[in-house]
Amino acid sequence: MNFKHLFIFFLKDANGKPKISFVYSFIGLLIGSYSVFMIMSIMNGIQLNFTEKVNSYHYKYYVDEIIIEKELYDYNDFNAGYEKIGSINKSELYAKIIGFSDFNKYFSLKISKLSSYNNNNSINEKDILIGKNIASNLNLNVGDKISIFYPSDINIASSFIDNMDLTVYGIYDIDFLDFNNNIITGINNLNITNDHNLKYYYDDLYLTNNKEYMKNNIYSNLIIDGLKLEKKVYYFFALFAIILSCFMLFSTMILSVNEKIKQFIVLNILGMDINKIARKLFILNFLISSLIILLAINIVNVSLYLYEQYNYLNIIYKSFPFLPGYISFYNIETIILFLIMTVIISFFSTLPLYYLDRKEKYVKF
Amino acid sequence: MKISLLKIFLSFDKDRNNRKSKLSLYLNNFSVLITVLSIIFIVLIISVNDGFKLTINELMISLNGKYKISNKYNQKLTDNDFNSISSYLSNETLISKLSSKKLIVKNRNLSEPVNIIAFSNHENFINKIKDKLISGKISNDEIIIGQILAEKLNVNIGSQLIFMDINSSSIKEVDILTVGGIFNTNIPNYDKYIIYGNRLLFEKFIDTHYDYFLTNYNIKNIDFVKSEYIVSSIYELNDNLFNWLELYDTPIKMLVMFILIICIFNILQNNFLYITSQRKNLYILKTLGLNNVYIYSIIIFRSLLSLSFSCLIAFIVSYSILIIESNMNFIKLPEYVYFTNILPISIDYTLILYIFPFMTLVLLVISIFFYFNFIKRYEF
Repeated sequence: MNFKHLFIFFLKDANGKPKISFVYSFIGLLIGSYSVFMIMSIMNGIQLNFTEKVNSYHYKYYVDEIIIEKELYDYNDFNAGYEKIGSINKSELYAKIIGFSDFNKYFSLKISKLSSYNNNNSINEKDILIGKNIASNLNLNVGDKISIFYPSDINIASSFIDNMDLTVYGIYDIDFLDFNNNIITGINNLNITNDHNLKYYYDDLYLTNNKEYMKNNIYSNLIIDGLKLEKKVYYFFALFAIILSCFMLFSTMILSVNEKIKQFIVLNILGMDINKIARKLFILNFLISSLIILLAINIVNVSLYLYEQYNYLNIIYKSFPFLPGYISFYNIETIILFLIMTVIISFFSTLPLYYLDRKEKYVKF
Repeated sequence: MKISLLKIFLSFDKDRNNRKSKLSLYLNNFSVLITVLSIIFIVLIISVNDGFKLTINELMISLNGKYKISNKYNQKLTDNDFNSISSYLSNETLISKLSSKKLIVKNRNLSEPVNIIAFSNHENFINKIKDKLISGKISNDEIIIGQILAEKLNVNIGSQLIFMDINSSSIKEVDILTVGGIFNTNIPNYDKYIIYGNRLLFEKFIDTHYDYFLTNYNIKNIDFVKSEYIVSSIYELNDNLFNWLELYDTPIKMLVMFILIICIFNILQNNFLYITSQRKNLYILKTLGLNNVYIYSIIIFRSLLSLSFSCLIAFIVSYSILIIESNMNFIKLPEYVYFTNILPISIDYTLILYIFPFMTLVLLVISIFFYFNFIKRYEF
């Protein structure tokens, strides 16, 4: 019995007519698969947008000086940083001022792609990057000068305020949390001493032999973590839709097996035991479910393409502030979801075959 | 004849000893189980999603009132403004007169920028910040600060903080105030930067006039106020936050819709299985003179009965889960991501009035469509 015969065997009734009850299960599976990949597409779009912003602004991890000394890491692999609250003179504006020991490296590797600056000038010691909100509030442009003082350094007794003149090297625009309200500069402009505990930032875990010491677990990273959690919750609900469809398929298959009990007995007499049929049926169901899931992925990608190119399907995509991402067939997450879904569907649609074993106890399958 | 026919068709358990009946019973129960699970999930998803929105709405309103009134020409508001606005309102309507100012607060070598919010009297303060206090109390003699700020400045109840108003070249004013309470709103910007206190405490930093008034009364309906002042609702002032909340609505609505469709398909599929297993009986009934429409209307009735029964069980189970969770709070969340540390739940008993009629309608429409397109042609 080849796959074609097996396919016809289950999908047609005793009179040779297609079994309509399978239509509901297959449509249900298609809808369930579509919802899984639609959610993946939407959440990937949001995650990509957020992660791009966060990674252009923050380092992912940090270690402290003790760890560097203890593990004999190279200081040059890390970028030391410190944060201080500064006040912009004559503006009543307070901003978080973040300083890096290698400001050049930070700028070129991270924030430069989201900044407007003069390419012809190199970064000087007294240069700063300001967020878009600060620039628009104070009407500042690239090349302008501002004066900053640090409230923590104020001596209340003498009332002395030490102002520092700095030049706007660039204006960055990262519309996420309060990023656009901050200032970034070299660590020397923060007036800190050796007593301050610096953080040594890095992005690549291989620098610390894949040891994740301290995650730069600031609010933005918490949001990304929250987003990942929500994605898992949505996957769970979407997979639940698939399981519901699997239950439907399971019922249909039970009835189908029940109807064809005599044919199974004949097949058994001809030498095909239940395990042999089950193996073949599992492979057939795996192929059918793979086709359904691939169709669902293509519907998601085609609908996104139609929206991007021709502005169709506004009703679905218009409400999203970020464009959902295309589903890649080579993505590990896609492959895992694909395998989970196909195995679940194949399992539920093959399992009813063992109903024969219980039903026809006088025949040894 | 008709009643006995109905009994046969609607019965879920005809003969427990008959193998065919047992299978039919099993399939029916399985179908009911799927429908019940679907409706439970739908109710849970909707309740949690609405819970998030409701929690944040209530939190924002409790901290800011529903409407903010400020001067049209960027000037300060006076007691005369307050009196003229109040004259249009009933005596019970609460309006809070507030001033705010950016200051630097210092404790030893730690300093942070803060935004002080000065109220006239804590007893008629529209802000419900006292409900968010985790320690201490609100009074007219001491300030209350956010939990994150308290941790950053390393202060506790009774600690004294130095407040400074700084201009470009010198410190304009300095004052020392005592912390009387610490609040936790679960909104990072509030817990990090806001300090509340009676305006008399901040008299060195603010003048006798007010920056804005807050009220919960829909003041936009009063033409005088609308023409003389700027009135902004909480939703206009925090549009980013509320847009953020709406962001996840579309995927959730799509999910709910898909689960609903699958649930209805499940009932229809059960009908198909029923028709297939009862085909011989149906032919006999037809031979006896019953037409397709009559038989099919009985099957639809059977579907509706199954849907009603499933809805009843599902709503009982889902509301029980929601009530237990809202009382016991088993699920914890990272508070500064979701503005709450427990799973917010909005138990809406009117969902029954939406879900059941909607599913009934869709079920009827799809049933009739499938009847005309498929059943007539293939099944019997």
